[in-house]
Amino acid sequence: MRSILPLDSKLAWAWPAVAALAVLVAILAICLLAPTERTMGHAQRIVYVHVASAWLGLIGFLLMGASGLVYLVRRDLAWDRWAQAAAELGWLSSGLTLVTGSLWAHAAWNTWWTWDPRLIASFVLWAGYSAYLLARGNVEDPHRRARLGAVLAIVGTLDVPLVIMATRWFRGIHPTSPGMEPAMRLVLLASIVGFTAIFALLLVLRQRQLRLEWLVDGLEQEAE
Amino acid sequence: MVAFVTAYLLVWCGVLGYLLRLGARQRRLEQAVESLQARIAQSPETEQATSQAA
Repeated sequence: MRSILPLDSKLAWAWPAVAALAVLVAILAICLLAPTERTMGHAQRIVYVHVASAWLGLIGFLLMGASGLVYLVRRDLAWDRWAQAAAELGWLSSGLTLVTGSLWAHAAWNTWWTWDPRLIASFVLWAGYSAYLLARGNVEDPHRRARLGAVLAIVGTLDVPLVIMATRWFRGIHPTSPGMEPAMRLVLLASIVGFTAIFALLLVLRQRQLRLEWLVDGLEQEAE
Repeated sequence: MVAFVTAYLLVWCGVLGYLLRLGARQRRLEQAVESLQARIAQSPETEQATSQAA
């Protein structure tokens, strides 16, 4: 990972700079390039950030589940740290998906919340993240915590296909795949790339911080 | 327009909040490392090794 993200070398500035540039391009594209939708007006632009955060909410859970699975096979706590970092960022992304979705729903459907299958599945995803983080916080032993986290993450991953397919498998009012103009699709892609770059940067930084915390805890125990 | 601006402000507040939390944790870690270094420097073994070297 260090060779991909050279945060220790002279190129340490490059990764945050690329992420900041990607986000700047996305914001400019959303404000200037994306055409204003005829019926919803500017409120439709929420979609660009809502879809990007929803994508990261799903990716976070998949990363968490995959890291948990590798931990169960290898029993290496490094994978548990990846899982925790993914959970924290996934929880944030998933929460922002619900909030931005609610704002969009109020503009489009004149209601903040409705019991639509996609909305319920998304809420369950956020609740899954919350349960994972709360459960981890109550276990002291690192390996016990990692095992519990891995099982919760793998079971919770079952909700990911449900979120994706909810609009096709069940009848609801959430748009399936909104028909978009090419310019809108391009802006959506730029937004997803920008937010993914920030997510990846924060994920790596948090994982490294968790590693440092683990090292300091070990040294403090040795000193006592 | 209000909904659009609110949504973007909330998203950036979320990202900024996470960054601030990351920074606060980093400062706490640095303090823990400093106190560990001080404890190691003050430990009798370190003092003995220093006097022997002198």
